[in-house]
Amino acid sequence: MSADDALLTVSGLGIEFAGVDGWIQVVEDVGFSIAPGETLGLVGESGSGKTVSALAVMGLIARANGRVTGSIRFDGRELLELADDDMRLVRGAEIAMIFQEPMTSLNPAFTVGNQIARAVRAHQSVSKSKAMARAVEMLDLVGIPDARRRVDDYPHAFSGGMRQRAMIAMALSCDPKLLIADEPTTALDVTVQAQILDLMRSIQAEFGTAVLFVTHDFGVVADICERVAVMYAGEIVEEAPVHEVFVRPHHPYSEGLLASMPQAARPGERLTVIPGQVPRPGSLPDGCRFHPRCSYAQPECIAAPVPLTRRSESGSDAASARCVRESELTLQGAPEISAATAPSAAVGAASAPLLEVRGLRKEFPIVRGFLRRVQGHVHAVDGVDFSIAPGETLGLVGESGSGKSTVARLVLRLIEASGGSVVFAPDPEQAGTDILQLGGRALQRGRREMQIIFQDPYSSLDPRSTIANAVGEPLEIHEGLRGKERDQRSGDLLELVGMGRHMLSRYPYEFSGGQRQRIAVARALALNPRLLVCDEPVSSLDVSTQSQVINLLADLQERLGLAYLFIAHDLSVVRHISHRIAVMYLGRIVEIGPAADVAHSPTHPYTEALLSAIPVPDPVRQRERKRIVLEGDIPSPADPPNGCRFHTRCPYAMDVCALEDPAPFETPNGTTVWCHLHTAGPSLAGDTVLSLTTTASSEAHA
Amino acid sequence: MATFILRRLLALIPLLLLISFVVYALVLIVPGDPSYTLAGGTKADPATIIRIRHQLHLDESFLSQYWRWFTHAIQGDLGHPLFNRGTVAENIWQRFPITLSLALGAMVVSFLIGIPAGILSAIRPGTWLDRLVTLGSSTGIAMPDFWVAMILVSFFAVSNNILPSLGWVPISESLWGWFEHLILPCVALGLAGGATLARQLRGSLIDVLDQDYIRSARAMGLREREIIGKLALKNAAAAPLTIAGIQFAYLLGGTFIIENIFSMPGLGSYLLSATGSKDLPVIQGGVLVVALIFVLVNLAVDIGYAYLNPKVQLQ
Repeated sequence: MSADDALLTVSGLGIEFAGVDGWIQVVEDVGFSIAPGETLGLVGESGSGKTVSALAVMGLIARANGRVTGSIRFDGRELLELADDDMRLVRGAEIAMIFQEPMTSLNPAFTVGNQIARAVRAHQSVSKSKAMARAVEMLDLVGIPDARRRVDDYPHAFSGGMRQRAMIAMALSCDPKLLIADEPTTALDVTVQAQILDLMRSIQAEFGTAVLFVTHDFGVVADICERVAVMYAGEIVEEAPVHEVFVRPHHPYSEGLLASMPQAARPGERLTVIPGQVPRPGSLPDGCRFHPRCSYAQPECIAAPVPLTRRSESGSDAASARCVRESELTLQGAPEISAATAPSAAVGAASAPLLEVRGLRKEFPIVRGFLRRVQGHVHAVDGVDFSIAPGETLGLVGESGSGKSTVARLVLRLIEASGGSVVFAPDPEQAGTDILQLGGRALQRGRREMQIIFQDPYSSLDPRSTIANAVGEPLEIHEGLRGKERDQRSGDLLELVGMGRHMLSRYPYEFSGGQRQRIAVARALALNPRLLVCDEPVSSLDVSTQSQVINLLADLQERLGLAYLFIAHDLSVVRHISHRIAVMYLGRIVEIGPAADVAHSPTHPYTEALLSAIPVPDPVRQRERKRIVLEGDIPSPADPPNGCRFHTRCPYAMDVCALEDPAPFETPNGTTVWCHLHTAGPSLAGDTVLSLTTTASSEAHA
Repeated sequence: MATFILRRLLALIPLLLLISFVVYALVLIVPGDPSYTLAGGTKADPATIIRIRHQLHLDESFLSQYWRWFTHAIQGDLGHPLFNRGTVAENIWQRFPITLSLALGAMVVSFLIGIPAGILSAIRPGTWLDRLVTLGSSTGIAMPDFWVAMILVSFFAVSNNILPSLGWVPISESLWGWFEHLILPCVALGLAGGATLARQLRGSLIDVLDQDYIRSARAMGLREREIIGKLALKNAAAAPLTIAGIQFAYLLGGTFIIENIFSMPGLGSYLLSATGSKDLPVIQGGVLVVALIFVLVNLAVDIGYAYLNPKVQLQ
């Protein structure tokens, strides 16, 4: 498009930050443009420079330690030339921005309405009551129920999804022409993500707002963007219409990102990975910045920096790539989504279970008032049964608040259970022991063979302790190893997880997130456990590193015969690595069965909704497919609904669902499901819920 | 909010009972017998001592003494001083306005210094202004108040005769006289508090200005003045508020040095002289009043928290 038609044209954007040894270039020669009403996706992993580029458009890079060069033209004006006061008037009124962390993006000391009204009054000379009326109107528009009353609530009374809606309401309160959304759904559950994306789409349709959508998730890109700019190490490496990128990318990095999505992999196969990691600003490789990780790299790639070459100039078809071999390479687009193929191997189904959990419960007391009296209980885990065979992976999925992490902590007895049993039998020759009944030394011994790795590799390693100490600590405590002997074993462990033993003397800050998670795995393996509990082990990692860690876990299982309890909110990751999957909702398991069956022919409406909420990395199919968007949020576990706990949000709810707890039903495939549709309803009797959707839609057409 | 305050007030009742008991138990800790002193010290005649002990109810059990004192105290009767005329309550009531004026004045000085200095250094961390504030607050904390008082007196009163250095004028007599006599002692008392406040505010404001919600406010184009003065300050105020509360309570009980330097007949110097002569009813009454104020100030700080952080009210 010509620069005049565009609403926003960024060209030659450079951003530098003050470092210890002078200025460090974090973004270089970035250019893109957005037409009125258009949605451009800015995609890349952490450290690619996508967020700082967005902040530069907002004029939010502090001058004290940041320098912005180049040109940012918006609606006929050069933003980089505006005085601070004039730029302030653009922010919020003409360009607004929403951020990744809805939990911390609203001021906790002011009501939601007050904050929206302030934003309105910063740009329009209206009375306080008019501004408040506008706040109510906006909250209503973004789907906050009972907006007139909720406007006076403080942010802590809002759930994560509602806060993001409130942020959107605030951002749109002054009718901006451009909305910058920086990973707006990354911190949300998939079902809530689907709600927010729907909301953004409908708002865009109504007001014609252009959107710059910053994300790392190609599924979300397929869902909402019209054009995509892919960033790597501070540069744009490819820009093209969304269909083109998904069908035939022109840069090896785009190809790698598409291929490493867990949705793309066939069950049982290794995930495709991009080797290595994103280089840090200030220590960039020569020539093409991607060449050290590129499988197509040749000597010519290292010789000189690669310019961005345009294939097509015109309008929304504008396409370009930064690759010297662009014309000779034919790169692969997003792989076909694999339907249920490989039947999940029934690992050790015949042998005695390694772990058997029965009737596991955890209630947290709610204390209130002056006398700290117990006024009720949060039923975090409410009667959970499952077993894990030796060498098997059980995936445990559910939204935040479902109680899945509590289950992990209960199994290891990091917190005390309120009831139930956890029988662990590391030695198949002997009967297991109930972990919950052990005490003191016996508990310490009993726990040796079950270990855990946590979600956040940044906070789960002591920053002041060397890797040798971190990995060697369990060996000291349980086996009394010291000095050389300990370091010898720690080194072996590091090599087991694909790292070098020379790293033993380093400290955690010297490692990236993916490497730290490897270290955490090495530490967990120190005592040769039989069971590894993985609590969201890859959720905080980038797509390419995520696949590396998952492959490592799969390899280790094969070599060491480990069993995993793999907890994640992301069904696409879980379905790849698990033999069986259990789906949790409000402290209970609603469906448990073979991974392929649960993930492809779900028998519980909640599983169906979870699956439906995951965006498919294919722009055409994603936009055509019929989706189930659940209403509202997960209810409070302090006051769970009667009967089937899912009935308040279930699209197929019947009268009986609100009255009676569903009984377990076993399908021919070996899935156990707790749902009245199979026992009392139109009698699915073991069939998948998907059959209901298809009948319903064909009836609607008829 | 009203129920929150009411709940907190009710919670004070057991606390006040406990305080009154501990205060009265001071009798047991203070060495020596006042009846012995009253009867004439070394020349005392044992019969007189017994008579005085009976008059003062010192021959009764501790609990019945306490009960007698407590039932009177809640009606505002704190008894009679051993060595002075009038009642303890009257004496305290006369001196209290002086100490209260001093404490309030010192707080005003602390706020006038601490808040602007804290804000200025927090919005420009690392600049020369910030370093100046940090240096100034270190100096302010390091200087003892009596020494500052001497310096102020020698400069403003002795060398230049701009301000009076001695005495006290009730506000009912002359507003200006009252104000004029308060300036030097309040500055001397409030300087260290201002320095502490500036430091505390700088620290918490820098943290708050780094929060996501401040970035959201900037992204909505709010004025920097509103962002710092309202949105950030309300979040950053909790820690400085605690400091101010402790400071104020401390000032009410600990102004006697300054009262002595400036010859002000305040509560501090009254209590000090009573301690010297072991005048127990005065000590008990005075300590009770100071403790009561301490508790009330803490309540005010708690209410302040609830205003600053709406989540507090839920707990």
